[in-house]
Amino acid sequence: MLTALFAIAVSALLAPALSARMDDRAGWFLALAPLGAFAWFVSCIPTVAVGGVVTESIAWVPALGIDVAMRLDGLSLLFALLITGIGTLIVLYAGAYLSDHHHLGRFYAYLLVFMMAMLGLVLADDLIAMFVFWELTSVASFLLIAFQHEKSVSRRAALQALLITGGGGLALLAGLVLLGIAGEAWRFSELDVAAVEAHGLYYGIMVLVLIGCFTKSAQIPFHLWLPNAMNAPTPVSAYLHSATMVKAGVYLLARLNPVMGGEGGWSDVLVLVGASTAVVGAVLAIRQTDLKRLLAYTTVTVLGQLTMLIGTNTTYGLQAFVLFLLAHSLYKGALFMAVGAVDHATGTRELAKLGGLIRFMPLTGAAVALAAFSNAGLPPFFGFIAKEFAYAGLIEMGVTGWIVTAVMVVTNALLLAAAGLVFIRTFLGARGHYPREPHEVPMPMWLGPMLLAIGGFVLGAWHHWPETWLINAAVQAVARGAVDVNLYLWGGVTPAVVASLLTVGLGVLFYGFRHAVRRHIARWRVFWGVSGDLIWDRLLKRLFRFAGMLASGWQHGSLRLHLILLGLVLSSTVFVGLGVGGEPLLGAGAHPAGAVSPLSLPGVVGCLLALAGAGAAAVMRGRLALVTALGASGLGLALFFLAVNAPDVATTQLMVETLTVVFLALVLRKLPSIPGAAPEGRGARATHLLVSVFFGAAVALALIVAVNLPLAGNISEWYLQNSYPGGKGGNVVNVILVDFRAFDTLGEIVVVALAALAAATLLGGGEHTEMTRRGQPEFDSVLLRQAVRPLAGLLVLVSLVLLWRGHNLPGGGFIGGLVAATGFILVVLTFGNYPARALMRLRPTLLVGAGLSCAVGAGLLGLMAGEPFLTGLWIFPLGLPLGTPLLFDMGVFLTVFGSVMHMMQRIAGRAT
Amino acid sequence: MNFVVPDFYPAAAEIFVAVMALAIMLATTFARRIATALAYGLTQVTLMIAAVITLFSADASTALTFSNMYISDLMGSLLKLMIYFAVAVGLLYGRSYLADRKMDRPEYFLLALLMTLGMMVMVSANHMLSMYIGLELMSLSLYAMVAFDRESVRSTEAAMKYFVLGALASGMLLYGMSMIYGATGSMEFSGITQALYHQAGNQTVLLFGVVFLMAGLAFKLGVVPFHMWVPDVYHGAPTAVTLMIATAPKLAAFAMTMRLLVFGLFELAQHWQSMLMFLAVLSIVLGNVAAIAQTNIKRMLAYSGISHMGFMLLALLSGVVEGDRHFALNAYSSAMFYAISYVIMGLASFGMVILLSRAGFEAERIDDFKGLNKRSSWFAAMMMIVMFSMAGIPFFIGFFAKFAVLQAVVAAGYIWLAVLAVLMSLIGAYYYLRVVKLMYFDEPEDTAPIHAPADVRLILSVNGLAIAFLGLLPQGLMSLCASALIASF
Repeated sequence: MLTALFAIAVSALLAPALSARMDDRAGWFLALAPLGAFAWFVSCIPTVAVGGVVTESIAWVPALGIDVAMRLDGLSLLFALLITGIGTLIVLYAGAYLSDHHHLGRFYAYLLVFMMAMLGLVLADDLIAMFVFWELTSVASFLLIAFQHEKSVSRRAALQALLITGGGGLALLAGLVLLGIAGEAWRFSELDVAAVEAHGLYYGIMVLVLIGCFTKSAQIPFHLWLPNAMNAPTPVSAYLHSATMVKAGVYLLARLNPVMGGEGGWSDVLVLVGASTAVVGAVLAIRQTDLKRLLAYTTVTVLGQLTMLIGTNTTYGLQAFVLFLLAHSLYKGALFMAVGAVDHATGTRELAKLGGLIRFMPLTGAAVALAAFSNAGLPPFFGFIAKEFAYAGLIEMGVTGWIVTAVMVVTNALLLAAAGLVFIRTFLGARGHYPREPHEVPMPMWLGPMLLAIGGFVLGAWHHWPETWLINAAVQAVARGAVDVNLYLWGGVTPAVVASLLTVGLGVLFYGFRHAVRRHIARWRVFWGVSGDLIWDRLLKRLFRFAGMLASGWQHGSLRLHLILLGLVLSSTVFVGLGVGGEPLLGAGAHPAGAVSPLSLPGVVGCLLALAGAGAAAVMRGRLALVTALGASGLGLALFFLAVNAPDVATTQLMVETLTVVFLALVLRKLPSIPGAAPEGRGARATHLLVSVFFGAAVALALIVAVNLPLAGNISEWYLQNSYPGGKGGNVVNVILVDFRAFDTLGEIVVVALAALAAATLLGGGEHTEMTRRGQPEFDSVLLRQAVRPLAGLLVLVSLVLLWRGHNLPGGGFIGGLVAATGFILVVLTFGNYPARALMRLRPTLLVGAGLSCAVGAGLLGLMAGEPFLTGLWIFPLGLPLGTPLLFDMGVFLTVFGSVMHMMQRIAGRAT
Repeated sequence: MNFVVPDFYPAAAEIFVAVMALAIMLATTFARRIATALAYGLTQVTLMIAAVITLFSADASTALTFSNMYISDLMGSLLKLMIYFAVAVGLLYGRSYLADRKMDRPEYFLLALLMTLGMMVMVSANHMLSMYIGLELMSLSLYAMVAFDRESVRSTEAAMKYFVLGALASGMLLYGMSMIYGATGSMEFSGITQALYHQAGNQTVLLFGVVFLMAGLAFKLGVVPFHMWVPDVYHGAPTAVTLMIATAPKLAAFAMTMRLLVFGLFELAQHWQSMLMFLAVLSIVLGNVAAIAQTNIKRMLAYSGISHMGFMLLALLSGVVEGDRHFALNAYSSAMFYAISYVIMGLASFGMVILLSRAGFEAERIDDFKGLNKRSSWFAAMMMIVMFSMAGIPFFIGFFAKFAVLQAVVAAGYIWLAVLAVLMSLIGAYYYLRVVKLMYFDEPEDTAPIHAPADVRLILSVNGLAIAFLGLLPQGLMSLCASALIASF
């Protein structure tokens, strides 16, 4: 079996090349693969007919437990024979039908790929492998429909077909996965029936599987795609859309019937949906004037009837299913191919233009006659037996069966009328009006219909052959228990025979009064309209509108709204977490009493100042005002730090805040106002305020909870104990910076230096920075100018003091550098950058370099003394402890100072 | 201070890439005339050699170095190889795109290399700080790349948004990291796991830590409700850059999620799983539905990416069921397989957009794909493969990715999640299939011949065929993912 699949796949790959080399003869060559497969399957008949199965299996994706497991039983064999047999004929037929098409090779390839997929589908025993082949048939079918689309109408149809079958496929996947879990196996043959029926998700599985099958087999309400798909070239319609692919759904229903077909509503759904599909299909068929569309709708009818027959689950019903399946494939394939031949020969498929073709196309006509008799269900053709058994099966069901039978009589009568249209109207009677001079088609084109039609006759007349060799095994595979199969053409006067007679009578009447029938049907146009595309369009429109709403709600492109969303989601989650965690906010007794700092007045004032600054920033509008307000908030924070005994942090905060305000103000003042940026309204502001307060509250709460909890270990204890003995310094913060973690500090000052260099480059100017003697206009006051000089000098002095005492008392290189920079910035602001530069005498970049060298040198000294890099070395001249950490701190001082000045020079050069 | 010279060998690839980035920077400064070609060539060579280094240093053992801040394991090696591959292909696709628009400055390739380095560090981080450093290196490079079309308002605006939101997300991530550090006393993932195992740390603080961590992660993954940047940035950035954002960083984000949540916070699985579920469900629903309404293919792919990431999270959240870790490996390896297959598909899809565009014409509208079959049936077939694969149709890699995830989800007992995911994929199928329909059934609006260099055509074809090939025989990649995870746990 795998060999068969492989051979067909290989011939698909070879098809384009072969077709290019051998043109007409390629078809004969390519048909060898399906023919060989057909022969092989025929050779399997004896094994399977006595109840045997043929299995093959290779691992495919062991990681997911998927095997390509093949299992040939009666049902599979029947399908496999149809697929390969009709497939062989179709390949030959296509070669003649599309002989002048320059992409014929590609067409062969698609067709053979489809054949391979379809064969895989019916042979696969593995649920997932079956699904994979299932979807591949959809893909191949799409490619084949897309191969030659003539009308613009077909565009919508193509998407429709793709969506309906593709979507149904996904539903099927879900159903199969659940089925595999419920049935505790991933093989159809190993599914545990009792477990599936008892499983809680039985109905879910059923619905999902049914959606998959109904979409594939064009059952109501998914039937729309099939007639629309008839835009494909005729060989495709004949093969995919009547004989094989659309039967995949029916196949799966039959395959799962033993598993799912218990007392779970499965049968009722199938009968109901199948019967309605059959009626709708038949009514719509009679309305058509295009031969091919007419056949398409009769196919819908038949698919409905097949579904219904599985649903009967009666002895006769299941036999009828298998018979009908076989009969339909034979005659419908023949009819489609013949219609294609007619189209090919005459250039039209319109019923009104056709007539009297038998004179020109006797062989095709004969094939159509045979097939149409079978289609009409007249004895002794195979279609007759199928219909007979169908009635018997329905009647077996009881009251529901009778009702359905009545409906089916009408439906079959309509089918009979349709068959009459196909043969009598087209081939008999007066000569029609043809765009082209009709002629008999070449041999490959009449051979297929002829063989299939003769097959239908032979199987009917000698019905004990198929019974013994094919039908019996297939029925056993579909049925839940063993079933006794006994075919007959004449079984006495049974209700089924009466129904049959009624059908024929009605059918002849319908054909005779076909125009009246059509008129009547046309009156209910509204009804037929509703059932079809209208719902589809509405559904899509709704979905589009919903999607549009959703998308436009998100796609405002506003950064503010994005930030609001981000903040809200996060803070809500924090609040939810707080609720879930249930942690008391003020950890009752978790903290030792002394560890909580008492409230001090400066601390409270600092907090209030910070709050006020933040509040002002939320209300104010001007850019500079905003910067100032934020600065005030920072100052409040510095005050708070001071109040909780953190002078180092406070001083740093103060300096950084001051410098930030100065820098920002200088830059912002020069920026032009942004065009098109409308000030936000009052409502927006209120929202922003609310969101920020909410977010702030969330973060604060999270912090309180976090801080409240005791931490494992106490790091600060170690530093407090070792600061003086190890680092010879009283100021622990500074000792950490320049000694214990000096390597980190080195990294940081390198970053500061690089950032300054990069920022200055971005500010532009380079060597040509404008050197000015003018300060900022706001500083143009004599008093101020006089006061700045001593103040700046004082600041520089203070900075040196800070640097010196830093090791033992609050201060240090970093703070010192910032203070010194502040002093010089005052000079720059008042007198321009030239005097400041003159005062410094050195370029800021040189200072940065010197600072870094100083710091690294301090480290190297340690290395030279045989200690690790950055080890502190100490000398005691006059009892004064001097060490490399001081040198290191000087490096920090110079780097920070130089960096700030470097940026300041550039800004001042551009800001005047 | 005492230093131990670390073992550099496990990080050889990272060191090599870092050194090469510096070398390329210098080289292009001096050789100005051939700077772009030089930068491009050297970048590709660097990626190739890095791949060789990673390949040869990969073995089943796990090595720690740099004071346990860096981990070298098989999962990392596999992801890194995929990252090199994605970046190299992305650069190749984007090169002519950039050249046509006069954007092919050497800095671009340099940034791409630095981004790669960032991702490598993320993939191999065993410590919250090294993770963070890698993340920032990657993000900063990306911000700059998004703004690479400096003249374009859309590009700069996208970069601005990306930067502001990204910075906020990074802040949250850091905040979460600090809380977890506070609660467990460790920044190293194995240390955190141990501390958590011994019931150390306060549950509330840990919960907060996880919340903030998840916010940062979700942003980097681009999942709802932290997805807002994705469509804007994908749309605004030059397509070549969109391609970069949409592919390799997803692998890095996957690695980050694995390292942080699975390697670090495994003990807190019950917390983060429920959060992941929230994120995943929202992403799958919103991503798929909103994608339908798009007319711009980059935006459509952005939303599709959101839903794909949601799908990947589905697998991640099915790892542990009520303390039962039986399914963990299977779930995580299917997530990894999903991420890798998404990257392969993403490369091809954006590669197609680049292929159809030319200077002055971006081919961004979905309608620009109309009638592609008439213009080039080969590339229409490639795009069809990509779209089918993204829609999860069998015989393409996307199907097995989806299937593996679904299987993991169902095995974990979240039947409703699986059904929802399938339902949403069904909606998702619509917009993918619409593209296919446009290509095959509509008349082309743009009839200019497709203009692309031979290498782009070749690699794009290989890329498309790879999707089909891996869909036919996914076993190799799948078992690679599984064995990488087994070796890394």
